[in-house]
Parts: sequence; C-alpha cells; structure tokens
Amino acid sequence: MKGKRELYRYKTVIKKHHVEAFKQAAFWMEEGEEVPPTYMAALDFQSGMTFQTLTEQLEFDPACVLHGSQSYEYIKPVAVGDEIEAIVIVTGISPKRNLTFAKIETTYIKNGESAIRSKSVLIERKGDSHV
Amino acid sequence: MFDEREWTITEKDVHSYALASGDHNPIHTNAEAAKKAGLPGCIVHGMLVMALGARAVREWQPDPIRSLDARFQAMTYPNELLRIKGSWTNGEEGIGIVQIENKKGDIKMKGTFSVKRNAL
Repeated sequence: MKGKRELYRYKTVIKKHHVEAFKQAAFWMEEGEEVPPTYMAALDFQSGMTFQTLTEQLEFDPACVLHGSQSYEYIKPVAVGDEIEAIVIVTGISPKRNLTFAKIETTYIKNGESAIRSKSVLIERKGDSHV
Repeated sequence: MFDEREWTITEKDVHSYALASGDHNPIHTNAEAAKKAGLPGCIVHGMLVMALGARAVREWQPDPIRSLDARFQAMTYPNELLRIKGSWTNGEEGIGIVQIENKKGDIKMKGTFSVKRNAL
C-alpha cells in the first residue's frame, strides 16, 4: 500500500482508575498524575481501537499478529484528566515473503497541540513454520 | 554502564497486563491460540517488555524521558529471567541505549532513549 490512510480517530479523557491499574500492571512505580511512558498504547485499546478493530482495519489475520517495534516522542506531559484526541494513520503496508509489515503513526493531541507521537510496526506472520 | 536490573515476567503478570491495557491479542493469554499461530506457547506483550525498559531508564537517571524507541528482536516467554542493561551513548545530550535479554544472552528488546536535560 502506498500513501497514508487514516485508520482510527478518537477523543477521550484520561481516567485515573485506568492509569492506576496500568501502572500496577506495567511495573511503573512513580507516583503522580502523569501517565507512564508506554501508557498510550493502552489508551488506544481502551478508547475503541481494540485488537479486533485494528486487525480488521489492517486486514490482518488476528491469529498471527506480532509487534515489531514501537517508538514514542514525548513533547508535552500527559496526565489524568487531560482530554486527548488521537489520530491513527497507516503510513505503509508492505509484504515480504510470509510477513506483512504495517507502519502506523499516531499523534496524541492535547489542547490543540501534539503532546506525544508514536510510531509502530505490526507484523502479520502467515504460516506456522517459524517465528 | 548503568546498574543491570533483573526481572521475571510471570503468566499472571501477562494476564494482568492484558486486562489493564486492553490488549487482548490471544497469543499472550491463550496457549491454544499461541500454538495455532505457530508459537510454542504464550508470549509476553512487547509493550510490557518495553515498560520494563522505561522503568529502568527512570531508575537509572532522574530526567524526564523525551523519546523511547524499542525493537522487539525475539519472543519473550513468561518466567524467563530477563536482564535489563543500559548505558549512555552521549551523556551530555542525554542519549542512551537500553537492552533486554535473557540469561542465555538472546536479545529480546533493543532500544534507545533520550531524556530532557535541564528540564524544569
């Protein structure tokens, strides 16, 4: 696939109980209202971009999806109570042998400005011979 | 070099992470689904491995994280002893590497990070 395509968009307010549960599950010990560095992936899942939605949108077989890489750029702090608009874009889908790579970029906007940028690669692994 | 950390992610940790994050890819929590996908068993979420790396970066130094980049090089399985290693590549500019491997030395995650120097 060439060119960019919007995959999903949502608006939500970051909820304290979600962040607290995430901190505990993700081994994050720091106190305070700011979200942990890897929290935004959870925000996506909790805000409608479920695993099923993601695989349907990418036309990936949900039985064989792996996470290849993930990067975050933190521009402004994001904390409990912040209203976030997230725009999820697929920037490319490329097959390579029995693998298909999807490049995804997400911008998390707070008060009209980019607060966090995410880039990830998801991999659909066809066949069952090798990891 | 920063002080090396050791950590083991259990099956219970993986289930807790699936619930708290909402990442319900069945290869993490359902052994049958993992086998159907050609895996020997359930694997740990890459994002949970990355979370360990993020925690280590914050424990190693006091400045807020400006960027974090992780490549998941190999599957991480529950109950593997993981070693979290890191060092500055340019301490003055706050740029470093973080790597997670098992005790055999198989690299699970290779990452880079940068921190905000002189943050208020």
